[in-house]
Amino acid sequence: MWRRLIWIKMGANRDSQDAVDLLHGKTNLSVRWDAVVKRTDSFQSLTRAPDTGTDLPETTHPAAPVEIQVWLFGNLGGPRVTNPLTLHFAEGCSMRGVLDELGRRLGPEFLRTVVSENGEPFNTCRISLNGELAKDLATPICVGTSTASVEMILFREIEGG
Amino acid sequence: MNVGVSEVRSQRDDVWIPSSCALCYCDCSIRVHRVDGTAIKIEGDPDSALGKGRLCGKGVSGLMSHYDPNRLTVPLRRTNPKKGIGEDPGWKEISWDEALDEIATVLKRVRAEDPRKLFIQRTTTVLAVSVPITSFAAAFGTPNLSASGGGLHCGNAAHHVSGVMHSSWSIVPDFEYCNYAIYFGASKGHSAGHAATSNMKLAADARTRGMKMVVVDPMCNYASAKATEWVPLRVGTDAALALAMCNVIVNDLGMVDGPYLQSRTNAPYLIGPDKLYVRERQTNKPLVWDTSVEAARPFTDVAAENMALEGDYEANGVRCQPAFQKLRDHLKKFTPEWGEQVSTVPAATIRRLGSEFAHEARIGSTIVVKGVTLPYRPVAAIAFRGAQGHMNSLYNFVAVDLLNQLVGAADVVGSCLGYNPVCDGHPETGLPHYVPTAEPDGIMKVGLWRGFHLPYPPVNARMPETIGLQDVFPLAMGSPFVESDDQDEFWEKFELPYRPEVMINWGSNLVLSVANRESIARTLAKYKFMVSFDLFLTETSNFADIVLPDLGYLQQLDSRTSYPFYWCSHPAGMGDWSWNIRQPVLPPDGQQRGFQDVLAELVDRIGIRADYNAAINARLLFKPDYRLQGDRRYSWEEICDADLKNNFGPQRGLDWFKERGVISWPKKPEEIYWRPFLEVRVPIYWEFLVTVGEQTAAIAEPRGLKIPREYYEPLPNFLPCLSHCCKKPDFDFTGFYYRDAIHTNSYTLENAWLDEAAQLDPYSYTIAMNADVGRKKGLHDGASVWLESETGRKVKGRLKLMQGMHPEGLGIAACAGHWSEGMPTAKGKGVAYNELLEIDWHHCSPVNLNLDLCVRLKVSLAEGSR
Amino acid sequence: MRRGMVIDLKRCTGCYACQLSCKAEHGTPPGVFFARLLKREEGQYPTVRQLFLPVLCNHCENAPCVDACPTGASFKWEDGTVDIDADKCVGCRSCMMACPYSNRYYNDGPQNYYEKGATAYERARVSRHQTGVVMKCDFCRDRVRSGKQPACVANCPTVARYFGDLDDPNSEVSRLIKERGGFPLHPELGTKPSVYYLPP
Repeated sequence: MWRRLIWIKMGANRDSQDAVDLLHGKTNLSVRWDAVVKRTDSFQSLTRAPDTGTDLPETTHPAAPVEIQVWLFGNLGGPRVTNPLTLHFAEGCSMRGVLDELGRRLGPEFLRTVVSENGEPFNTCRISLNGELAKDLATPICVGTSTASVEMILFREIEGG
Repeated sequence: MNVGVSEVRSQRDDVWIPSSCALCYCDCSIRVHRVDGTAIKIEGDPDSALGKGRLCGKGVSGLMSHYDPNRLTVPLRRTNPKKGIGEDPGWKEISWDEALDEIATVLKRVRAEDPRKLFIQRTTTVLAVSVPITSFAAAFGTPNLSASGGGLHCGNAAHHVSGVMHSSWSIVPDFEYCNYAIYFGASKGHSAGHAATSNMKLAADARTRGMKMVVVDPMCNYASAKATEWVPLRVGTDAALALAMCNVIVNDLGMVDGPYLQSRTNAPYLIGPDKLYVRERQTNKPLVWDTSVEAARPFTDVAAENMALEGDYEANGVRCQPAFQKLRDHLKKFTPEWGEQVSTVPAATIRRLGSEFAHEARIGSTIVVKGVTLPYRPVAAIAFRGAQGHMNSLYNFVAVDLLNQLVGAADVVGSCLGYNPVCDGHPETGLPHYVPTAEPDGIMKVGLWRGFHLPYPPVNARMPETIGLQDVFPLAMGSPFVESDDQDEFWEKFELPYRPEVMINWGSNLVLSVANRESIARTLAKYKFMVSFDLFLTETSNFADIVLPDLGYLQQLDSRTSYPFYWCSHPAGMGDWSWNIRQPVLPPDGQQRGFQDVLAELVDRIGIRADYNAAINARLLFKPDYRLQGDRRYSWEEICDADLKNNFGPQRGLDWFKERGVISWPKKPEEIYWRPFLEVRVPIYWEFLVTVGEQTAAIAEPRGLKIPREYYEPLPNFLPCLSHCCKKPDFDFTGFYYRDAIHTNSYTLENAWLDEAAQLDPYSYTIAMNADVGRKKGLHDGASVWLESETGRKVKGRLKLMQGMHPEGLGIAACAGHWSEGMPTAKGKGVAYNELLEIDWHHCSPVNLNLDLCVRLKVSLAEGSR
Repeated sequence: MRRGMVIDLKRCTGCYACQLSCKAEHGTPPGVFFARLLKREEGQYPTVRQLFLPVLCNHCENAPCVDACPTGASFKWEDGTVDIDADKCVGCRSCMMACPYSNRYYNDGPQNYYEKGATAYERARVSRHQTGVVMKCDFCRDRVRSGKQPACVANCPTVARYFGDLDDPNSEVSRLIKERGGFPLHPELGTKPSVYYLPP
């Protein structure tokens, strides 16, 4: 049964049961904010993976040896880097492995520039794998017999407007 | 002379060409009528959501900006090495080859030494510049970019907080359904600002439909002039009013949307004595108190309706409370009487506004939009530049948005909306697509952003890489340190490992737009070499070594002018998506060249083509079919063509868009009212601020810079500006500036039609003062007066006495007061408010570095005035 | 058929787009505005608002300017639009003295906005206007004859302006006047304007 909405008067004792019920959504006068849209109504399309990243190709040998060519651009590159750097992984790797290896070769300062303290790449560091934005650093890079190609560049954006 | 035009004139032409406006950053779609090679009219494009077929006064006047005979047409080289205000640069004309040779030589040297020595400024007027300029900067290897005054003044809080709370650049009422909107220092739909013209019809519809519009503003102009209720307040005290209203809603009325707070905010997260989340030891997840089992459990494991919002608990061996309890207790001190004392808004008004807002929110109600049932909260509290341009920048904005969060009026029908935080893409391609996600603490992370850092989660503070020191202050966006009086001291203090030597300026006029001219001039004169891409010789161009004549917007090509949709151009709410482009209607005049082509030329001369291609690929998210390859040269046309096909399919390249100007498709309710569909939370308790403050202090304090921790508390406060603390006798006024509907930044003052309209307007070029206060001081309408700041800076102007001004306020419009000979229409018009501003650590917010833009002033009659 | 305009003062936000789109359509010289915007404060602090009043020629049914004109240069079309035949105008300005709304302009000032001379736009547009004669709004006659709305109506960003047939009781302009209590400026003068305003 629907009751008329009870207006809570100004200066009401905040311990009044009406206020508490409203606070916790326990009154049946109204619909809980989070109950209006049911999970089954969820707009599937909204939560699909962004098209800017793709699933990495899978082969039947995820631990197979893989060769990766890395191009570093902008101030990730510079005179000390000759593109491409070629990395060999005897038992497969992920993008995280690639970053770790680059850190070993180029020094911790390189990693600090690219990866934050929580281990994730900065928003401003764009990493692409085989021409697509790399979305998941943990997924194994499996390319069969061909060479994977990784590009990295650092952006700094302009604020304001 | 004008080779291009004669090509156009070879046969009679009478065409309407679709493009986009660039008199401000709103990029409304336009159609330009060109007859026999001359553009004779600009109108809107009814097929576009940008403007909906109409244009503001600036947009229709674009012809005068284009055809201004003072436009630069040849590259210029300074011959007088001395740089300063009033120094004649001794311009001589040079060829493009000479110019590019010299620039490339300098840039090659700098890149070999340290690419960070290059600093790039751009104007906020034209957003599409972002792609080539940020790509150039990334390829070159410099992190130093800035958006001049428009960036520093406008939105360090507005954009950052909108990003944290609404995954967008700014916030706006859902005009179509809102019943009660309260504006704090904002004019959405009534003046300039994001999606200005598109919002004008929406706002007019809302008001005529009966939306109550309450406008909190020291001045009654634009939105406040049309308000159902104008609420004047002391300049810069928006947080005081908002916090007192929050107190009324939470503690007096108890009218909050508990379920929203439980399910979509960190209100139930347990907070320990260290002000931080209490976390589960194994997983590090924030804990909440599960009322169904009376125990603390990770937030992911508890149904929202069982999360306690109040009470005292023990978890992990510490006393703790839900964040909402902390907020409720914190708000108690912000009584309406306190609010009145700080803001001058009467306590009774504060109570009434709080009550109205809470009641109009209709907590618990639903509505159906296009067949989708959604929460209905038809109230919106919005803020923009006026509220956040203060020392208390961050808290002012947080406090205003807190009103929305308390009643669940966030990105649902009728409520406060972010500007298009979610896009599901064109029906045929699914692009562009972006949507916010939750990071490990469950707090929302934006789907798309342009920034040094994401608004959330904040990066750890670090020793600086940039001259703006944004690494030390991770919540900062624009920074005063790129031009401040104390920049050398701070660079030294923070061991910046290099010093900037070269500046590329794209169209900004920082001498006029940032702060007082002396300070900016000092900074500019330090640069060993400066290149300025300009339309006119501005006050800033006069510090350049080389000035390059740029194309105007009627001559430019850009594949993305209304995108990104969360940024400054695209209207929010239901309707259509419209992606528009800009295309040349008129050829270059004289030796004007498009800056995109010039940058590409420099890229080749410096030898960074492969880097630039990689940057463009990354910036525009090119799929493999469209990626630029290796170090191959691509024209700007080719890149634009690829951008469009990449997003809209191979049949919709540049030619397709040149014919139509825009592609539109309908928005879906789930895109606009996205929040119920996503399991993301926003902070009503800014727990992370504590950690940011500690990290910043850990770097700054050993180096002698005290970080005032009151700015890093997790709950908002009112913290006074310098103007609020001034006790000097005779300094009775607080000055502020505001956007004029007919002007953009410092650019349009040169437009003869806009200047003419401004001369007829009572406020555009005057200093507005409360009439009763003025008369008591013996001042009269039209009197010539000096305004003097506490530090002795002065500007002169004519008074306009008006009823619609707070007794302490002095309002100045636009970024006026030009003195450059290169802009003769603009010269001497209006008042250069920024002359009154100091620029250093003491005059900016210690948490987000927004400049404090209000100034305590003394007024005196100028000589010769009656 | 009597062409008329309705301006909704509730919607108008004083943005000057009408004044400027009119100027852009007709290329009027400096100081000449067929459409203008006036602003006025109402109330006393703190209860204040502003009235934004766009004005233009009212195309009066009893046009005093037409009566005053000695040469017949000022005349009315069949649809009620008041216009000026520039070839017949001798610049006596009797019409300007007769018009109680100050909506006529005498074109004797500088024709260009810049000291450096006429721009390409001004050469194409401003030069069409004869000097030494009076000029005014003609309800964008050329646009209307080709099926468009007057420039100020088509462009108003708040959609505050409407144009149509006042003699048709079912037209949008007629309905708005009836439903919203539309009123002309200075009705006591007996000029019977064809421009109506809806209350703010």
